[in-house]
Amino acid sequence: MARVFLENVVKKFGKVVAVNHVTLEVKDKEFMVLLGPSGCGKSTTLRLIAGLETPDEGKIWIGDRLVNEIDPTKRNVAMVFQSYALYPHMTVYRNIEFPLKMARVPKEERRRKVIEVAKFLGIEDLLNRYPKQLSGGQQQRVALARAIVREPEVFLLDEPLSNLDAKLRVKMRFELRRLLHDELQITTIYVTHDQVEAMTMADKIAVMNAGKIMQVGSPIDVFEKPANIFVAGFIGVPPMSFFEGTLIEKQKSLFLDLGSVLFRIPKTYYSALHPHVGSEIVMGIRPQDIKVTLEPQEDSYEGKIVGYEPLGTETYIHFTINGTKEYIAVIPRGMRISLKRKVYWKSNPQKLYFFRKSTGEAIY
Amino acid sequence: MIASSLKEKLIFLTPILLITVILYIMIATSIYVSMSDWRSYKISLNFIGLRNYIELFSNPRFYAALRNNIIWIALFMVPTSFLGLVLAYIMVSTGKELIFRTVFLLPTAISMTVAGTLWVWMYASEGAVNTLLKAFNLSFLTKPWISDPSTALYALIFVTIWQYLGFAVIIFEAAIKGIDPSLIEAAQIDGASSLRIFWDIVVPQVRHGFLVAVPLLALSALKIFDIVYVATRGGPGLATDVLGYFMWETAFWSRFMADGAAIATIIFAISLGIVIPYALIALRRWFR
Repeated sequence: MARVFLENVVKKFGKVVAVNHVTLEVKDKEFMVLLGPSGCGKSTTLRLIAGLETPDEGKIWIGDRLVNEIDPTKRNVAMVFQSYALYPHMTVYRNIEFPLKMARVPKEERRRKVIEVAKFLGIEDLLNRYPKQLSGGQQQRVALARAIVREPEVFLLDEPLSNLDAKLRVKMRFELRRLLHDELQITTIYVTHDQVEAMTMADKIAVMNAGKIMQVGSPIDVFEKPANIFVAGFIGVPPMSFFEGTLIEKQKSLFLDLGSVLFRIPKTYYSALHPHVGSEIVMGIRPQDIKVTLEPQEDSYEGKIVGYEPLGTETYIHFTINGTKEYIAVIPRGMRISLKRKVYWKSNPQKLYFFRKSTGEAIY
Repeated sequence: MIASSLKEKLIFLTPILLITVILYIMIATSIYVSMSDWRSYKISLNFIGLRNYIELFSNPRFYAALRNNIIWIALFMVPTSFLGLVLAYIMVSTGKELIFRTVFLLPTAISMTVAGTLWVWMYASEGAVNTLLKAFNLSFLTKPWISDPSTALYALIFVTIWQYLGFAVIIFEAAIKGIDPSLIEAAQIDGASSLRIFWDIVVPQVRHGFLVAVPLLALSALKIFDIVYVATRGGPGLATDVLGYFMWETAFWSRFMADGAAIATIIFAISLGIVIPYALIALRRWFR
């Protein structure tokens, strides 16, 4: 068991900076998810920890050891690849046995451990089969077994669920978390671009973009208190709606000038926002916090429906205020809507987010 | 439009049909000649059955040549394919592919007659090989490499290894590049050293590379002629005689066409013995 610590790590591929001054601490037994869009550097970060890439700058610690110069073979980490990377010419038994064989574990002990792990993962019937004779879910269990069997200090998983079908993915999501976090209690770093995976599995999420860490926090933290526009827009389904405009003050009240509409900002935010009067800011509202009605109501604004996505339990509607930018709101099922219909929307006054337009940083 | 008329199909198929027909006619003709009494400048195609073969099988030179061919195949095919694999692995894993490929492919690009002439000079008593040995104080190892019957065959086999190595490297380079890189990375993380990765992951994964390289190299060694012709003419004695040279000399030097055709037919039969098992494996994969 070990803590993993990355200190100011930089990795470049030619002119592309894949990992840009990343500092990240993963505590012992913690389940950390690196979340971000493709190309954000999350997989490279994982490969740096595994030793498959060498950092250009910075330090990587696993436990008390500085591992920058230590070969992947000697880092005592286990990794599950997106493709599972099972050795196709070896049976399941030999696949699981391989890391033990490399560690020169005596034959009898190897046998005992392989069978123990196979039983633990419910794959003892598959030991004589070859990887190509297994289903995706079974292959994944074998990959996990191979990783678990050597009792590594750190467990690294690179998008391990992305090759499974949707139903199995949901099941394995739950099982993986229970297995790695609750039962084995191994420090785990898990890379995904799927925010649902991140939210449901992680103790902590590190949101990455363009090689940088945007925010590290618990799933609730990154959802409730996004540090910047990127995190706010990346986390949450459907994505947060952003309203850009100039912050103005009239008769001791703050308004966001959206062009054709002056949005009245609730008093709660007055002291936090007051220093920014006159500057361009971005207001974010989660679609779940926008209430849409067919008739005008108090403090509501006019909008026009430009599209909708019925999901069964609820419907996402896309609306505009003055014909250009689209915003998303969630409406209950059964509400009668149609394209180009005029609607009225208001926000939950407790659930507004404000960001500096220039830097994207959160103000409130 | 993909559907094509019969006429179009014929236009495209005719060349390959012609080549195939001509090839098989020539093979059949050669087999027929081998059972004829054509033994001079004048064509004579009287059928005499297997008499030429019986004579050939009682000729000690045939066995000497066959033995040399078998040694050639064994000593050429195994090191060439294995070295090719090792070099390709080093090449791919160090990422210095361009330099390596150029260095190893250069000999392959040279014609065997040129290479043969070059090595005749290198192997000469005062040639490059002996000069180098002397320079390293290894004078006791110097030899007239290709005029000494005990070393001549091996010296020539070495030239063919040198020449075909680039070819083997290219085949295995392609095979190694076909391996999923995450398999190698997984093995690294599982604690395997480079040598273990080579044995336990790379070698089993490039079996299809052997499937391509081994029969092609074996056939090249079976058909070997030019280097022998240029360097030793089968000598000293019969030390470097091979079926290809024996056939050439019989048919085109002595003008014993029928006997030459019999040797050619035997070479053809051995070739089939090498190719058919591989073709069957390939076909089985194809239909699986």
